[in-house]
Parts: sequence; C-alpha cells; structure tokens
Amino acid sequence: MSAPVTAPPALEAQAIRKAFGGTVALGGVDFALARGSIHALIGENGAGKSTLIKVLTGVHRADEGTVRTDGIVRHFSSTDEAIGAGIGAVFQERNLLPHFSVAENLFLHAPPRRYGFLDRGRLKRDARVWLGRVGLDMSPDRMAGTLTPAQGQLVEIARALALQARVLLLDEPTASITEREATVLFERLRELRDEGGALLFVSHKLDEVFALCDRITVIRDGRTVLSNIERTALTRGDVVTAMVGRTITVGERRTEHAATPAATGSPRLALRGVETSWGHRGIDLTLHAGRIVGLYGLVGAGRTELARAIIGLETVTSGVILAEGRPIRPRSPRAALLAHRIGYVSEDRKGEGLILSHPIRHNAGIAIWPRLGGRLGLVTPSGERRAVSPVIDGLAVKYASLDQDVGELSGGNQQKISLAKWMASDVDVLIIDEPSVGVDVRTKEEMYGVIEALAARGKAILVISSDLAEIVRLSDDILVMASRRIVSSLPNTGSYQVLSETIMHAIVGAEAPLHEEG
Amino acid sequence: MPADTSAGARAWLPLLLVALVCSAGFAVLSDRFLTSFNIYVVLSSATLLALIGYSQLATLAVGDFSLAVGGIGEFTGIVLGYLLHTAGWPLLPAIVAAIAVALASGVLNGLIVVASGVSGFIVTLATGGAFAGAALAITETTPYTGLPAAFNFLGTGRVGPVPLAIVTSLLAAALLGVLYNSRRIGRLMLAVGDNPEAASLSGLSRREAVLWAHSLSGLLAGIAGVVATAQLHEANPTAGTGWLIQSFTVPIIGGTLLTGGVVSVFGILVASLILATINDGLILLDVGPYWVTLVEGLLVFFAVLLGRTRLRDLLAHVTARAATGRLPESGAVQR
Repeated sequence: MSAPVTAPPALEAQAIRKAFGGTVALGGVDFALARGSIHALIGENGAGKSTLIKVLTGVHRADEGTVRTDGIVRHFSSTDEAIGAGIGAVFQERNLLPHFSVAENLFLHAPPRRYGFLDRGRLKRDARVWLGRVGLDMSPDRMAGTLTPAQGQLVEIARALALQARVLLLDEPTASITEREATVLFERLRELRDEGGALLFVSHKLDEVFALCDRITVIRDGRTVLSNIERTALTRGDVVTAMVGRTITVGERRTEHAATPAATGSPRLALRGVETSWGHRGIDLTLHAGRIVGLYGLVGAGRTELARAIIGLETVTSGVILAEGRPIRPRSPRAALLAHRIGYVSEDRKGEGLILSHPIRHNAGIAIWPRLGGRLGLVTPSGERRAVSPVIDGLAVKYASLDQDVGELSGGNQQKISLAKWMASDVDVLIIDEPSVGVDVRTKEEMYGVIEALAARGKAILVISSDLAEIVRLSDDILVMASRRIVSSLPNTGSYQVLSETIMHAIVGAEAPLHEEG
Repeated sequence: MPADTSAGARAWLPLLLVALVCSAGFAVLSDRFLTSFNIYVVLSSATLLALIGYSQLATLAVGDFSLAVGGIGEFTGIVLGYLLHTAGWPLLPAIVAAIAVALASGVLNGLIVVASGVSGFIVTLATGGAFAGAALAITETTPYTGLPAAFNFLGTGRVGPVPLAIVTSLLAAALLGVLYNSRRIGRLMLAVGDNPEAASLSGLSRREAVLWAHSLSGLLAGIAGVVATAQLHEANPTAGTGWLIQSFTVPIIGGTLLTGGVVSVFGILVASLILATINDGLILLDVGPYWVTLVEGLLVFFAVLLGRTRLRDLLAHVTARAATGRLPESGAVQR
C-alpha cells in the first residue's frame, strides 16, 4: 500500500442502515477502502451488496450511518453528486448506449464542445487516451453495441476514470465474461491499484477474491460480519463460514415418505455425464418420484444454468438426459413441459411465474388449462374454481375470493400460488429455483409445506438453493455444486452441523486456486 | 455522420433503389410521369410527408410516440386561417403566431408527459383528439377559404418542377441533422432513447429529453400544418386526418427505430420521396386509391423486414466493404 498510514480512507462507510418499507436491507455495514488497494465485498445473493452499492453511488439514500470520501462526510442525493465526489461505478449490467460510439459513451457526462457543437475531433483524441489506460486498442468510432461484454466493461471502467473517479466500485465484474478475459481485467485492476487507485470489488467468487484483493469485507443479512480483514489473515473456509454461517435455528427436517419406494423403478429424470456450453462437466443426477433432491451451491456455481440446460434453454454438449429411462433432449421449456412433463419454477416468480392482474383461479389453473377445457375447449370460471380450490385451500393461502387478483395478495401468498399451480398439473418433475428467496421465516415454512405436498403427490423434485438450512430442511438427498461440477453427493442425515462442515469442505476444496496470484 | 451510420439508419439505401426502379417503370408506362408539372406534384406531396415524418421522428428519438401530430397540424392551420381570414393579420405575424401555438401545444404535451409519468402515447391520444376537436369546433367544419394570394403562392408556387415549399423540408432536414449529430440537446434526446438507464447514470435528464422531444414534435407538426394550409389554399379542420399513419410510415421506412436512440434524418427525405412517387405513379396509371394504401402497407412491411433480418446485416457489410475497401474492423482487448 503506497498511501501513508495516516491518510483517511478513500471511501468509508459507518453503520449504514437502509430499510425498504418493513424490510431491512442493510442493518449496519462498516468498511473502509484505502487508497492503493483492492477491497473485496463478498456476500450471498440478497445479503445486501447491491443495496450498499446503490447507497454509495447516490441511487438510494441511507436511513442512518455515514459515508466519507477522503475523510469528508457525504450525503449523496443523486448519482450526479456521487460522481462529483469521485465515485465511479461499473454495474453488473452494461450501461452503454449501443448506438453511440465508444468515444461518446466515454464522455456522455460532459462531451467536449466547440461553439456549442460536439467537438468530434477532440472527443476521439481524448477517448484514445482513456481507452489506452484500460488497455483497449480499438477505434473510438466503433458503436458500443458491437462490443463484447468484456470490452464493454473495460469501456465502462475507462468512462469512470475519465470522470476523474478516485474510487472505483465494480459490481460482479466477471459475471458475464470468460476466465481469460477476467485475467486481462485483473491485470488492469492491479495496475490501477498500483497507481494509487481505490477499488471495491464486489463478488461472490472466492478464487477471484483471493487472487486479486488485499482486504476482505463480508456482509450477510445486511450486516458486516467481517470488516476490512487482511486477505492473508483469512482462509477460504473462514470466508465461506462468514458468508453462509447461520445463527437461526433450523426447522424440523421433513419426514421421509415411508410409502415412497426410495429408489426403485426407473427414475423420473436422470442426468448421466451431462456437459453444457456453460462449462458443466460430468453431471450425474437422479430424481425419483416422491423424493426431493437439494442442489446446493454458492451463487455462481452454475446451478440455475444446469436447470436451464435441462429444459432446453442452454446447450447440452455431451451426456444424456433420461426421462423414465428414455433419452430426451428438450429444445424449449414448452417441449420440456408438454412432451416430457418437466416444470421449471424460476427464481423470479413474480416476474415469470404469475400474472398479477389476473384472478387467483386463473393463475392457479394456468398449467392445467388444456385439461380444464370442456367439450368445446372452453375454460369456464366455475370449472377453474372446482379444479383449483381444493389445492389452494390445502395450502392455507389467505384470500378473500378465488376471483381476487393475485396482485392483491401478500408476497408470501403469491409465492404459494405460483407453486400451487403445479400441484394439479401433469408434471412429473419439478425444478424449483430458490423457493424461499425474499420471504419471511413463517412464509418460508409454509412454502416448504407446499413443496412437501408436491412430493407427496408423487412429483420428483429438484430444489435449487443457496440456503443450506433450507436444503437440510427439505431434501432427501443433497448434491453440492461448485464451479459447474457436482463436488459432493450425500444423503441428508438431518444433522445441520455435520452436513454444513462436510459441504463447506467440499466447496472450498473444489474452489482450489484456479489462478491464484500476488 | 454518426447519427446516421448505424445499421438501422441505412435501411433507406435499398429503398432509394426501389424508388429509382419505380420511377423508371412509371416513366415507361406513362408519358405524363416525367413532366415538369408531375415532378412538382411529387415533390410537393413529398415535402409535406417529410415534415409530418419529422414531427414523429422527434418523439421516436427519445423512444416515445406522439399521436397528436395530425391534431396539432390541423389546429395550427385553423389558427392561421382565423388570423389571416377573420382577424385580418398580416402574413408573417400570422404564420409566426400559428407556429408559436403549435410549439406551445408540443410543450404542453411534453409537460404533461413529464409531470404525470404517463407514456406519450396515451397523453397525446387525449391531447391530439382535443386539438383536432378544437379545430372542428372553431370552424364548425367549414374551412377558411379566400386566403391571401401571397400565402397561397408560398404553398403552390414553383420554379420549373421545384415547389417553393420544399425549402421547409430541406431546411428542417439540415437543422435536424445538425441537432441530432452535434448539439447537446440532440445527443441528449438520442442518448435517453438509446438506453435510459445508462443515460440517467451518466447524469443525463430523461425529463429534459422528453420535454424537448414533444416540443420539437409540436413545432414540426405546426410547420406541416402551415405548409398543408398553403398547399390547399384553405385552412381545413380535417386536413390532418391521414397524418397519424403517415407520421409513422415515413420514419419507419426511412430507418428510424421505434425503440428510440436511432434516427435517420436523411432517410425521411428518401422515404417521403418514395411514398409520393408511388402514390403519384399509381394515380397516373389509374390504379384505384385503395391499392395505394395497400402498396404503402407493403412498403412498411418491407422496411421492417429489412431492419430485422440478416438481409440488413448483409447490406451493412457490403456497404462497409465498398466504402472502406476492407471488412468492418473488430477491435480486440489487447494484452
């Protein structure tokens, strides 16, 4: 670290709190980012990383707490003010204007002018300087829409630098780029650090963090659990434990269905040696009727991508998918659903799973419309009510009438409806991604009830979760994924303590240094 | 000109070819097509079409719509007719006042959109109806006729085959070209239309862009209203009836994106020329007016296909190759 020890941190957050309505997103975050260093901010999905970034960049205002840059207290009420204070941010999604040149994207904030006209000559000359700083050798006239994600990211970093950013926030910068591109990016980031830059690197990828960062701050459930710790003082295990460590009690494990033959007959769905274009290798997975398999892994391990590959949204490059013993290769979610009876419930249930402005009966019956249709193919409200009301009532959904719009229900009840619609449907296999993300503890338990009821009806269920307590609560068998491989497969013994240790060791072992440096 | 160099904006290139082929065909089939008077007729209607197209282009740039182009145009014409005919104002002050009313109408649309957060589509559906209704109410459907001869001359006067009124669309093209290429406001509007989130994170104001877009649209609709009045020699409260569709047809054929961020100022001139030529040619060939509408529809379809399919990429590739003598570069991350 080149900065003198006495210099105040380039960016400092103290006891930051932020709530949205009744939901506490940040409940006390502290960290200090020194000049000439790369500081990792790590946390699971929903830990509060994005909210923190938004507070630091003026998108949100903190309810409590202090933000300082170089020792000066700041109260950002707009992104403009944060930019003015020297805070540059590169967000996860690309924020470039696709039909504008790279040069113009760099100086969108304050393009060079002459007599009120855009000075394209100077624009290009200035752009070359900043593109050079991030090692991009391309024409400044190139349209930003033609860049690869990695190039776009470097252009955004150059833009932040051009705005005289003295603090650079990078939100999941490697989420959409290849490993080789990441290596190039890291070299640039180290150069910027060595020139005295202060970089905050938001990630959940441990190997990257350990390869790149000088200090580590971990947040969980909106609080810092490790603050400004030297990387060299930590092991991967320490960090993983801090990320996922649980203080809440684990719910009673579900009782196995004695009536269900554990693993007899051909499995409803089986994957054998499946490889995908996302880099999954040698994936074996077996789902039996009436059983719940939990697929655990940290965010970014490749779990959702595997689910998407099963229903035809990603390319399977090798291996076989078997349904009832017969090889299948669905080309679309529709084909997976109609021809092979495989349903996928995405994490974004509100966005993808429900039609909020339609009544409950509609939403709950949507997966069985073809069967509901009478002789004339008409789906009648009374027919719908008859079909869905036993299901809904069995799930303790709180509603006034089945004709009520789903949008009027509470979030937890909406989630229940989104799962309940599969209850009456003809699917044999149900893949449920992060079933309880964003719901309170009580609703969580009710969601688990729905999933168990689905299993009791003979559906084979794969639950994807990054909540280990949830996996232990729900699963019959547990699969652990890390770096797009199944690194461990174990029966659920119901002992959270023992399982969590085994699983964390499996993950840390799999995250063995891929490109550890410095 | 960067605003015009993206692929979408080049869709008019093959259309220019279409126009030439059609013109050649019409010239062979009808000996009246290449007469000085007929060329004047084509250029006259192309002038008005271009102004209508520019009015919509202004809102499309920011990714919004205006359904008030016709309403503002009619209202402007009626205000002008009233001032010239009933109030007896001199020509120049009357025109300036009428266009000021159009600008104010556009500003009003913009303010409502910005203040309410409701999309321009809905806001202008309401206000456009109101403007058209006001024009009908003021006149009780009777057009103002007997406008000053000097004014009528501005609309239908010509030098050989070239109508005087063409100055308005050419001037609009030149000024809009500079605006969208080089002026802060123009770049702001395109930036907001291209990617509102990115623009906002760079401190650009979406509200400012939308307000400017609707104001500019109103101004241009007003100019179209004045030109239409001069061409008809009367202020007719139903003059803008067909403008709604035309205001979209012309920019779409010209290569302006409905999603915002890409405009083709020159494409509007080409598209309006094509539409006017085909319209005129089909009339000369005694094809019924309904077929004209069909052909226009097919043209829009063709233009959209061109913007969506690989054909466009192919054309962009070929043009880039022809222009530079090499393939489009592919910049790479340097180690």
